[in-house]
Amino acid sequence: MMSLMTQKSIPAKQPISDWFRRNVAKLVVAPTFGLIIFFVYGFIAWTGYISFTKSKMLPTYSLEGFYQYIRLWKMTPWNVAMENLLVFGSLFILIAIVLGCLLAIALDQKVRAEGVLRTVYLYPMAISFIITGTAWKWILNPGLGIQNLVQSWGWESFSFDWLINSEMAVYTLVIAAVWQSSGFVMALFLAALRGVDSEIIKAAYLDGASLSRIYLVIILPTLRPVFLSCFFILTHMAVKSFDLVVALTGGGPGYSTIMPANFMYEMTFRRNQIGLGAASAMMMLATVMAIVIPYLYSELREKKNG
Amino acid sequence: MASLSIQNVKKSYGAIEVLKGIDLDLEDGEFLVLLGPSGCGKSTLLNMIAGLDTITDGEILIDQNVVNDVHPKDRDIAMVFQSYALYPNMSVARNIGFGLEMRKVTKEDREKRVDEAARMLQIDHLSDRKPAQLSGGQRQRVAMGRALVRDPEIFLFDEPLSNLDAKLRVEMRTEIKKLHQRLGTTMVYVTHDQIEAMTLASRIAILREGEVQQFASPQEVYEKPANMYVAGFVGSPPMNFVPAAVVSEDGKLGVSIERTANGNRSSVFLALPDDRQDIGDWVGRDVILGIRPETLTHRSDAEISLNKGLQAFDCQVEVLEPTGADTLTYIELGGREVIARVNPYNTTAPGETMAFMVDMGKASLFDPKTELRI
Repeated sequence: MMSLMTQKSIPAKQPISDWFRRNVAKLVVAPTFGLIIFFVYGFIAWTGYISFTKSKMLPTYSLEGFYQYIRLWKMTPWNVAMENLLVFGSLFILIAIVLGCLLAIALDQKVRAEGVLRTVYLYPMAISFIITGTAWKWILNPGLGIQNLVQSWGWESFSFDWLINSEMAVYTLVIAAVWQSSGFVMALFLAALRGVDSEIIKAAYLDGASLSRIYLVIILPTLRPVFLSCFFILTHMAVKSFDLVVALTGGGPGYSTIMPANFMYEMTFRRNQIGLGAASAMMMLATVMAIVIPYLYSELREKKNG
Repeated sequence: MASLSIQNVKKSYGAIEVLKGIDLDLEDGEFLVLLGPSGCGKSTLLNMIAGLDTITDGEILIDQNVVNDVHPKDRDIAMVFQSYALYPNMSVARNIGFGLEMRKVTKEDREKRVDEAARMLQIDHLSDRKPAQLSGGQRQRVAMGRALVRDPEIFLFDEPLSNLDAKLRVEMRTEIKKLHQRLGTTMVYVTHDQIEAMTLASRIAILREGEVQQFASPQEVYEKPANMYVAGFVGSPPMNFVPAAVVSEDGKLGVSIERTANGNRSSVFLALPDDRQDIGDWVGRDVILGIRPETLTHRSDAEISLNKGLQAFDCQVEVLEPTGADTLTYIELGGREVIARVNPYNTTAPGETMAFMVDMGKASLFDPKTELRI
């Protein structure tokens, strides 16, 4: 009797509770999903559309083809910005990964006070690029910082004026960005190194490999995923770098250290060239895509194989 | 091939003494098993032989040469690790040949030796695979191949079979035994599994809290355990320990044990064989009688007439555990639960009294205070 009654009462309730149970995950995700669709992808689409118009201070909606793109690539500041991105990006990524990796290996040798050192190296990441930029502006300022200090020690002819030298100023960005990010790269590598089986290292010792050989031939190749992660995190930091330039060099001297993001901001919000700004924004998107899509493709393909 | 000598070796981490003076001497071609529970220092000792851990005090000699300060790669030893420790980014063939590569062996020679080792272990069809694409047993074989190809003076094994499933473990155990018989190389093997130790070793060293309890052949360890710890550690089911008193009856020395038979509690006298009549000092004192389950079984008068060591007594049966070949029969002797191995066709129902016999010639006597063999 009891079982009969319970069996009867369930079907009446089932449709609603079941539907809810099946769709609760979708319901929870729906608002954020909607917001992302609108604010991220919606605005990307809008920017894309605007980049094909002659919008100036206010958006206009009549299509003009590649007019803005042709104009963009004829402008010297934009070409300088793209060149800077290439120089800054490649140097910053390379140096930060090499330095972070070396720091991690050094810290992995059972150093005393490792906890303190790890925190010391990681702390710059907690600071905003604006602060980093300002601090390095003072350090690199020839009248206030290193040059002044060394000259006051008695080396009168010493000169370190990269910050005000339009040829070298872009490298000061590299210095500040590496200082900020290499600790973070180190933390990623250190975590991965800790995951390496210590018996592998012992086995390699017995096989007669030197310490440098063990790292180069055995350990680092297993850290390929960490290299990739670091590369993509640092790449997107490089492409969107804006605040560091504003704080450290202000894009100067002249426009010698301007970056694509600074160019886009300048055109869109200061010089009433919304269409041109949109075109430069689309070019930045294309740069990121050119790097991210092959990565996603290889990752997804690997998952299918595995 | 080489002899190995460990002389008063100590290891301490700060104030904690992990190894308290180990002395072991191994002849050329022997198979030494270091047996003990986790934390007894057996892996530390192995690492010290390999040179992966420093020696606090004492000396380790390989072929009469002190190797305390010799780099691991120059000791001419090879080691197989518990986790296999294969290089994940290298193919099976390169994993096996890496040690030779580091020792600057020419490419042709290297390929030949790698091929030979792989064929010996039946993994030659896997040469191009990466370790991640192998099963546990195959990885184990690659790890052994890596040691094999170097043709070292001494092989070291650090619990190599503990990550395998039960069936594969037995298979690989035999494989290691065959390998030792074929190569005749000195081997040192660390394990906590007493069956592995018994089957593989030419000599076993049983360690407990950094001290060697007994260093002898498997048979001697099994039949004449040096103390109650060794007796309890080796053998499955373990040795029975029965509190008893040494008494003299009709001019013969023996032990007196309390037990229940036919509903009555009484003592039974079990005479010791002639070669154990040397314990006169112990008359009137308590001892622990150690009996292996297979030496305690149902009474057979035919056997008793042949073997003078066999002593018969009655006892009430408590629990039966059939295992197929034998039925483990639980009885109570001297207040302790005791297991007897009985033929399934000679058992009696629980609660009833059955006639048993025990081989006192194979029994051990222990001092209850020091737990040492008498």
